[in-house]
Amino acid sequence: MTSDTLLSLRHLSKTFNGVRVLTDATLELQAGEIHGLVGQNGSGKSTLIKCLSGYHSPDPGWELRAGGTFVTRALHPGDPARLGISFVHQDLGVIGDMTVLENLLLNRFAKDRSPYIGWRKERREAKELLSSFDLDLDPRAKLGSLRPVEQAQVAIIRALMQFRASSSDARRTSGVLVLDEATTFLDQAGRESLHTLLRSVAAAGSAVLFVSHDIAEILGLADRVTVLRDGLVVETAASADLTHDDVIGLIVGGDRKVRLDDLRSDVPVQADSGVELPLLDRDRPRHALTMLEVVGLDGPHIRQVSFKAARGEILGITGIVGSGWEFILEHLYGAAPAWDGRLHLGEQTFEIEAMKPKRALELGMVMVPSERLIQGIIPELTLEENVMLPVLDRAFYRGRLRRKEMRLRCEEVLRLHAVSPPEPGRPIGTLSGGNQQKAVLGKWLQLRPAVVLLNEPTQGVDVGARQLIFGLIREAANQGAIVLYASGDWAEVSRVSDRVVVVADGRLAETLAGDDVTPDRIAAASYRGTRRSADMAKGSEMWSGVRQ
Amino acid sequence: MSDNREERGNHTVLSARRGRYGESFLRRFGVVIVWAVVVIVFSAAKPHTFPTSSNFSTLFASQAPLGILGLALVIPLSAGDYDLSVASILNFSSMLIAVLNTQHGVPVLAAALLGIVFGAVVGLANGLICVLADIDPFIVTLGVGTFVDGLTLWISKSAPISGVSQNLVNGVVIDRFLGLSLEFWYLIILAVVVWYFFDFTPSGRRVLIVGRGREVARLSGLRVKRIRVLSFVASGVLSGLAGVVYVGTSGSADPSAGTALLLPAFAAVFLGATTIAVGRFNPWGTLVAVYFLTTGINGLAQIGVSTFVQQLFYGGALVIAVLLSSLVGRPSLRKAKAAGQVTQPAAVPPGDPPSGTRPSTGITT
Repeated sequence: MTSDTLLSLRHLSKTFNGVRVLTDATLELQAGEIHGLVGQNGSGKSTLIKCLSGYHSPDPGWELRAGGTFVTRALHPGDPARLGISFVHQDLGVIGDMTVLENLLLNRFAKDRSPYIGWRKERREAKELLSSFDLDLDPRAKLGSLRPVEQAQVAIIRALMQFRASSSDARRTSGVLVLDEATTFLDQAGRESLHTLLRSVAAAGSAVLFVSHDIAEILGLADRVTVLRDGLVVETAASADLTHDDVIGLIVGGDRKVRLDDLRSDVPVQADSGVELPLLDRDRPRHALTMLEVVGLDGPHIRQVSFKAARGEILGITGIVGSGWEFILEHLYGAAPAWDGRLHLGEQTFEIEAMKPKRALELGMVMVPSERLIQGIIPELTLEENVMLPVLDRAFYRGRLRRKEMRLRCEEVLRLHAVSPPEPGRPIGTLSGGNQQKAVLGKWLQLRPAVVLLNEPTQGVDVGARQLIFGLIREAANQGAIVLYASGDWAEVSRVSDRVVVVADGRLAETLAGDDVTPDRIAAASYRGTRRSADMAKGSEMWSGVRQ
Repeated sequence: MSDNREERGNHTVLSARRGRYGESFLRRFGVVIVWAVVVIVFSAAKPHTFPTSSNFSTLFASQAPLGILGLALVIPLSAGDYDLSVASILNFSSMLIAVLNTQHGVPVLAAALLGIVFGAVVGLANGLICVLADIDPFIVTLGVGTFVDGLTLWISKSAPISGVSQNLVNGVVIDRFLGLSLEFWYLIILAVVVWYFFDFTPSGRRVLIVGRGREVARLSGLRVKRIRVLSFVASGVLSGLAGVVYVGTSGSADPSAGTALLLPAFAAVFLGATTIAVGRFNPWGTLVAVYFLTTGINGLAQIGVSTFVQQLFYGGALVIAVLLSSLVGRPSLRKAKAAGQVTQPAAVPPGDPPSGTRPSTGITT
């Protein structure tokens, strides 16, 4: 550790429910350096950041040296500030209704015991600070009236002010600034002016840890780059020594050949109960559809996306986070309004912009949403109340809900979907994430749907449960459902899917099939499709729409 | 390997839960037990006046309007919406009946029907304003309630009105069944209806789902807006009905008396959520809470405590009920958050930002 090292992190591991997501990570940040951190979704990037910010407690044994302090315990929320580490997250944490000055002073309001605010003095100091970074912003302007890039600049300046406020030596102006995908929503011009700001921050003696999905951006900005893969730091190198393709190779892992047979099992998965999965009630006629086709889907985040999927097929939908693939299934299901587009289901045609969840369900479509705890389940209600919601009407006859039958039926669904424990009366929130998700799958698959839409179905799910979930999905497809599987985890998408649609910058970049369904090909298509050019200007309006 | 660990983990959780199931009798019937203790204490203190059949029959019957008002609240609260206009509707409904019957010669049955219809209309207005304009029900129903209070003063010219048809009074308090005034039985019948609705109909389940998870409900194809509006209408109808019983109890209507029932009704519903069906706004718990609270006040009045004790009792009970609920807490949820299973939305714009004033019992079952 040299005298210029502002932050040194060693032996950082993190385990969730027995699953290790970060293994013995090491990171060193020098004064004056901009350090890029890259890795695909699930590589451990955000876990690393959240350990630094005190949101997660690392596994014992880690060592952190920063701000002249040596720490081995988990950080508390106030600690990073005292260690001279400031964060700017994707959502920036700014308040649109307040002025620039009020936003800059937010942290002070939270801590300061002084009963009086000298507005004139604060305004002068803020103005000086802003202009020292060549920022021409009026401290009295409402933040919401500023352009996205200016809002990001305010967030960064506020983070810098924290170094000063939190330090024991009152004039500390340098520290570690962590930008967690804070440029995702900016256009090219915005990104460049932000880069200028970050370079002068680094030149003033701070270190910048810059997290982004955009490899070109990282290589253009950072002095050094650290690549995470599967929770391991696989490389830290000067960015001058790396090419774009090198980084993609490191992110995806060159040795990872896709083993299609791994999970594409026609072998039935055994559930805990010993029941073969999933013998869903075959007595009820299912919706039969041979083909689903989406034509010209337009929305706030996507442009003219078209694709087809056939009966019995699992179609993966993926791309870089923020490229728009996240919204496609919500549009099809009517959960988020689309602007335009047509959906062909067999012989019938529907306007996607007029779709509603209720209508989608009537057409035999179901969706497993991405935000399980908000959209998927009601944690404090029981498994039965959650799982049996779509079939309540069937359980109501001769004047009342047949609760005993519902309970038995629910238990059956839980067993068929390997939910452990299969106790209908238990609050669903007491189950592990994997079991919650299996219950959500059971809730929808019991309808024997014609189209199954899965939005990041393995988020927050441990490895063991993932296997079962893949088995359930494959089984649904084998029984004749059309399955659309949207996920940002390329390894997983390529394992599960028969074909993959890759979205970049809101447009369809490529459709991969057969032996081309590999994480490498997906990565190549995703990053190749990301061209920051003139039509990003249009894109930036589109993203600024998201911010509001 | 990790499957095994997962298994073991689940079993520990399981046994811990079993332990809690064992305690659940106390949790479920805690308020009932406290109620029994209160009865015993006052019986010992005032053996000649408190534990008498006339005292109890008065006590049970006289609180029917409050009980019905509590049942009215159970519905929108279950759907996740506050309704602060219930007591105002009760008050207007009773005044409307008195005015129409005594000053305009409208038959009392027709007047009563109009009172109930008025409740439905106000409930509809509440619901439509909240849902269509997407405004916080707390503030909407507060405003609508105050507006209705103004109407009450207007039609009554701010004076109490007495002399309502004896037929109504007979049907509410004079006629008895099993020694108790009919109004008590009306309350029981309505409680059965509300209980049946929530426990034995798909619609009742849907109301509960809408109240606990709007997004889950929407994505499960429920008509969230319609359900919310209809639960306001149901609450208005029951409040109007409570007004009928209220005016029938005394044969007269007072332009301000009824609104004082708002806080006791809330206290009863929230306290009721800590008992019988723990963690849910439920009709039987509400009735138990109504009678627990009024027994306490009745007893205190008998041992000679001043009337301000009513306010102390209702206010204190409401705060303590809510406090108790949140102390029981949601351990399972907290654990899930600590384990990092609560994922932060990345680029997903919030569809329905959670309302800051969504009513919650704060208890897990």
